[in-house]
Amino acid sequence: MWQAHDRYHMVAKIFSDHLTGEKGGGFYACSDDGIDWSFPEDPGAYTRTVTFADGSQRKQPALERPQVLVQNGEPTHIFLATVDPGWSDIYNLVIPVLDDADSKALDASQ
Amino acid sequence: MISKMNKFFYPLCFLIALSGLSSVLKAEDLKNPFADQLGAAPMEGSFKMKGYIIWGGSVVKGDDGRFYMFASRWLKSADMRNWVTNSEIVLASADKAEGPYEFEKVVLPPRGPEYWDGMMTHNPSIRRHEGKYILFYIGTTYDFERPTSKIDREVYGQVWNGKSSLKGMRICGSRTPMCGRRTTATTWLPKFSAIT
Repeated sequence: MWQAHDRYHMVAKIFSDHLTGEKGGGFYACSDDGIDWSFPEDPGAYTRTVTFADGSQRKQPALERPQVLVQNGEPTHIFLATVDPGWSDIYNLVIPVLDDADSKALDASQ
Repeated sequence: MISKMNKFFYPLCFLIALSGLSSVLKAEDLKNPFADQLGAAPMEGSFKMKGYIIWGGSVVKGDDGRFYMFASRWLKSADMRNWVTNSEIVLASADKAEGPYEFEKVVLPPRGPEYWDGMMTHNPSIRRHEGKYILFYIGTTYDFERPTSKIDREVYGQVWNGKSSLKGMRICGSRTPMCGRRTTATTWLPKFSAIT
């Protein structure tokens, strides 16, 4: 949870698939007072199918305990506890959050 | 003059009251900062330690420009389930937000069964607030030796549920994990360049 732009924000894991369409994914919600929370129309924050730096994708057996790094009021990274397929390794995985300039550059390069 | 003011004043009050009633946020007005904004994850994650399970991790940027992560770890040679008896919170740091983070030190090691968090600390979350760093975490205690190998289900249930005794075992007491916070986190991180 964090506070920015006069609102509270949260990212959390959801065990069921009813918010994101995927069991064990992550959702985003926000609130004016920290008591009543609302979802945007598409509340998905992260998915267990992770895209890695080499372009490959992998479905993680577990992707939990999201902790968001906020810089200048904007979320920049999601840090997660993860388990690799076959339980071969258990470690902290990071997913960068692109800002608008980053995503425009990415669109242009594709 | 007064009647002229009222002509504007009362409708204005009415509008302010009305806007106060509509405090529930509408889905279509809310922006999801993560939608279509996720970048690629580094191949090796952000923080790994040979021989250890790392669970979770919370990052803050220091005023020295470096990034500091608090995470839980315990011996891989034990078992996933041993988080409840063996986890301890460590500090790691990196030059870049995404890491890789390098281990610095154990910040909340076992400190004695008499403390509520004396034998295990877990699930840290770090915040900067009014000139202090505050570390939120959970912890527990029990009055037997810290296990060095996989604990059995009974021991897990005992410590997780905080049962006071279990027949036929030498466990005399344990406490279910609780939440706490430490402002001593301020002493583990770089000094503030300004109080904010």
